[in-house]
Amino acid sequence: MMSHIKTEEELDIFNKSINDFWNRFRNTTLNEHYSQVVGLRDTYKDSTEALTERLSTKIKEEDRMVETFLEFRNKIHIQNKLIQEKQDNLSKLVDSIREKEWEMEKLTKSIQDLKESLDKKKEIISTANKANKEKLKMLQKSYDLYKDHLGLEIRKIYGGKLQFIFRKIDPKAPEKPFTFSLRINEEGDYEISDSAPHLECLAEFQEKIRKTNKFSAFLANVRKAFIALACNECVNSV
Amino acid sequence: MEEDVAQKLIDEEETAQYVESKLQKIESELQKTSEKDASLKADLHLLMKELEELKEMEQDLTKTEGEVDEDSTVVIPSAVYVSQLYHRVSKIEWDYECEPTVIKGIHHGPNIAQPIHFDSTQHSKKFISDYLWSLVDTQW
Repeated sequence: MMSHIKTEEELDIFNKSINDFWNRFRNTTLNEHYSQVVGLRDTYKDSTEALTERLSTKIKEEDRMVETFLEFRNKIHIQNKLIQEKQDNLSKLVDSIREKEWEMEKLTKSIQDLKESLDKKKEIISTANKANKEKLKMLQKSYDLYKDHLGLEIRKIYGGKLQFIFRKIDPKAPEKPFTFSLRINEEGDYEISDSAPHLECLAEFQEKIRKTNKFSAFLANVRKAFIALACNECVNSV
Repeated sequence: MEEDVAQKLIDEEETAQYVESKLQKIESELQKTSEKDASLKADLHLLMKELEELKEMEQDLTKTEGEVDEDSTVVIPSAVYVSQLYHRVSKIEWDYECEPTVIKGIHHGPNIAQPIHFDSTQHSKKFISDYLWSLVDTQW
């Protein structure tokens, strides 16, 4: 029994001694180790956090870079298309300009040629007109003198006829006209018509002039006949 | 790897700037060319108007030419015919240079030429007329 109690006592002491050792071990070594490990864990935790933050920032940066890159790429693509479009428009415009320049050249030449030809024509017409007007002036002068001094107006009328108008026949009415018309008929003969006032002898005169062709004698005789007629009327009116 | 991406981004940005400046250049060229085209169009329009006006002038000129031609081919020959008729009948050639109150000319008779000279203020028109006609032979 004693040995039994001794063993129990020894066990207790051993137990106690083990506990003491454990406590001592734990307090010293394990505590140190523990704080080391805790310290390590904390450090690890900090650096992981830092690393994670850095990585996350980097990833964000890289995402931005990729986004920016894609934006650039897209912009380039769009602008290249625009450039192509505008290049085509430019080509068309250049062609249009070339065409217009060619047309302008043609037109300018046409205008130049036409101007020259018109100037020449103007010159010719002007010269001819001047000459004509001179001639007509002279002819008018001549006509007026004959008409006034002879008291005879000759003019062309419808139907290819010539009309002869005598004035200064009637002394009482010098402006009173004494007229007749004349034409060459299809047979080539003189044909006298439309005398006003009427002259009986005209038919006879027509025969005479057809035979002799003496036109001046004919006119002089017609005038004489008109004067006689006028004088007869004077006499009659008295 | 990171350097690669950064470099690619820089290159792409460069390309984008280059393309943008190319676009601006071509836009400005397009603008200039478009203005030139419009200006040429306006010039062409003016030239065409000028040509039209010249063609109108040509028409007017042709009309005038016709009038002058008519004078030359119809009016003058007709007047010449009448003048010659007067001359043939009266045998008188007028002096156109004398004073307006003087009646002066030459009568070309069958044998001799006879001068004519009157002061129109001294005689009646009928007197002159009768005298001149008395110089015309009434013999058939």
